[in-house]
Amino acid sequence: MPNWATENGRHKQTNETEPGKYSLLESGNFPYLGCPNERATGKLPAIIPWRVSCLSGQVMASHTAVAGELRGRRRLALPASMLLVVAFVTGLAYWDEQREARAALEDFAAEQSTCASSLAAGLSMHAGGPSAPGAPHGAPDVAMDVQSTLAEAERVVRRLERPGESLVLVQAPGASEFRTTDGRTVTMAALSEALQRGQSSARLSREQAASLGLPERTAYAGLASADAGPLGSWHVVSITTARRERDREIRAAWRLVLCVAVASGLVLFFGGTALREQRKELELEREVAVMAVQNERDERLGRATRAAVMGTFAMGITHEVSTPLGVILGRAEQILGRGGADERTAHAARIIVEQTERLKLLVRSFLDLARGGAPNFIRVDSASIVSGAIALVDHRFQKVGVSLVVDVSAELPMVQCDRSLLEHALVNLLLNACEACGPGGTVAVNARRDAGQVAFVVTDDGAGISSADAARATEPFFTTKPEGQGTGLGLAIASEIVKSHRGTLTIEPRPTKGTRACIEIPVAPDELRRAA
Amino acid sequence: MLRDGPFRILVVDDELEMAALVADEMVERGYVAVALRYGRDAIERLRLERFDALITDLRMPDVDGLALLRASRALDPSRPVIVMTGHMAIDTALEAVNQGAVHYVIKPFNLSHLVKLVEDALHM
Repeated sequence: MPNWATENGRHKQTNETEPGKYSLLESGNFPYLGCPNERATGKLPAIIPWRVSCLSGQVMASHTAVAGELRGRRRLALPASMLLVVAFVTGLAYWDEQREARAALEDFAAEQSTCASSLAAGLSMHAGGPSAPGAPHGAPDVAMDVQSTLAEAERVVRRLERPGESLVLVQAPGASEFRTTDGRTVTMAALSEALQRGQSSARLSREQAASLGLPERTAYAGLASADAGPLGSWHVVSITTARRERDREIRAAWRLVLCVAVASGLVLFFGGTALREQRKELELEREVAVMAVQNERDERLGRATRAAVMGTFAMGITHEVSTPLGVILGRAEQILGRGGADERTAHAARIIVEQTERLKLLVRSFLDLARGGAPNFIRVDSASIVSGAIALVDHRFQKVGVSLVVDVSAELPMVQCDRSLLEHALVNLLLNACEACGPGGTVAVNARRDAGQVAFVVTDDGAGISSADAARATEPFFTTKPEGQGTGLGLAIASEIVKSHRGTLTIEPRPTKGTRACIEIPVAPDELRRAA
Repeated sequence: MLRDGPFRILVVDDELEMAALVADEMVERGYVAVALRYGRDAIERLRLERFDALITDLRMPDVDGLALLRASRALDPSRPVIVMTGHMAIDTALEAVNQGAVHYVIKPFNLSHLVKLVEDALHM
């Protein structure tokens, strides 16, 4: 068999480019639903194709895109939901941790307030407590009281202070500034305002804490007032840095982050591993299913090929034998009919007639056995011949990586043919084209009306064929393929099939590159009459 | 139609032995018969001579039986045409009947059966 043909890979699907025509490119969704089916009239497995001309390439392409998008979404959904859950749990834990930290700081502020209140109470006692209403007071006495009270307060509270940790401030009655236990004068508007508002505690920023000689960390101040009688109100402020509380808070936050990270990592790792395994299993199942489908298609193609070969041979033998048999039978009848023959000759002629009749039956039985019945010539939609043939070989093209481009004219006429045989002739041309191309090649199949004929044209961009080989291409056992790779019968059978349909098969080199094969068969007679 | 002499029958088959067999039988029965191998020769003879009936094979390499049938009917629509066919081309034979052939016979056939069909057609 000539090595001119091609093999296909993936089909691409394009939009309709002009009214009444479209070409199909890109594969996964070739518009045929091949399904094994037993023909009602024959024994050959058949394909129920969608009519090429009826199918919208755009619809199929959009279905593919939607399906791909859904698969992509499903693939993202699980990891995304896992991440969302982890983020939610992390957020919840962080919020809880912050709430606990705020509560701890509030407790800390309350402690400072209590401390300040204790100090204020002590100071009040030392200052003599609240003065009796209407008691006379002289200015020099007041000043003396303030000084002594301050001195006593400093002595008392100094014992409570922790250098670098806590600090006590005292504001004398009528004074705007605060005094520290070591005699420094401090002015802090935030504290004064808090006291005026009657707050029991106040938060000091890092800068404010640092200005008081405390570590540059958040600090809390407990605020209290002590009635000093005629002197007025003493204000006591106990300030302690919240460094340790804040450090504990930060450490707790880091512990939380670490715990969440470890837990999330474990969940993601095991979840991801399980997901990967599941995907691998699904991929494997899909590959097995694809292989099973391909094997089934190969098997179907093999059965169709064997049946077509046998059927074609049977037809050829029947045709070739029936005429000589007819002649023998006729001549024997003539001998018998003339009456002039002697008994011995007449007897011999009768035996010839009997044996010829027997041969007639044998030939017809052989044909029935090989073909599952006589060739079944019916009116068939030309486009369905193309779709049926492609459904049989589509997987071969995909396997080899050859593109198959289909261009079927709309409104193709009906043809009178044996569907399975004509499909098989086209299959042979397509497989030849596929083999001639190899990976990356392109095969185009085109069907159009040409006057009173329907032309099925298969072109490829493969190695091509010489004119001399093209002329011999349909001879039985002629092949240009390497030894063991071709029987040399494919095109011979295709040629026989086409002849039985009163058609022609032409093989020729293309002017540029590759080979062109064309089957032309007559349009169904009733369509011709209708057209006339 | 006025006829001068015996019926003239044209027999066409690319297997000349078959054509000769049928023609011989017709001659035996008193007809004038001509056996031809090619369809194009048959059309030429149909144009030039009178033939009262045409018996033709369907599957022939140059001009096939259907084309010959159409040519015959174009030249003389009243001329009966009987087609011979193999077992595998019954559909084509039926198509020939649709196009005006009066009968078809499947090879191998009994000569007496064919002769009867021809006589029926000629005397119709």
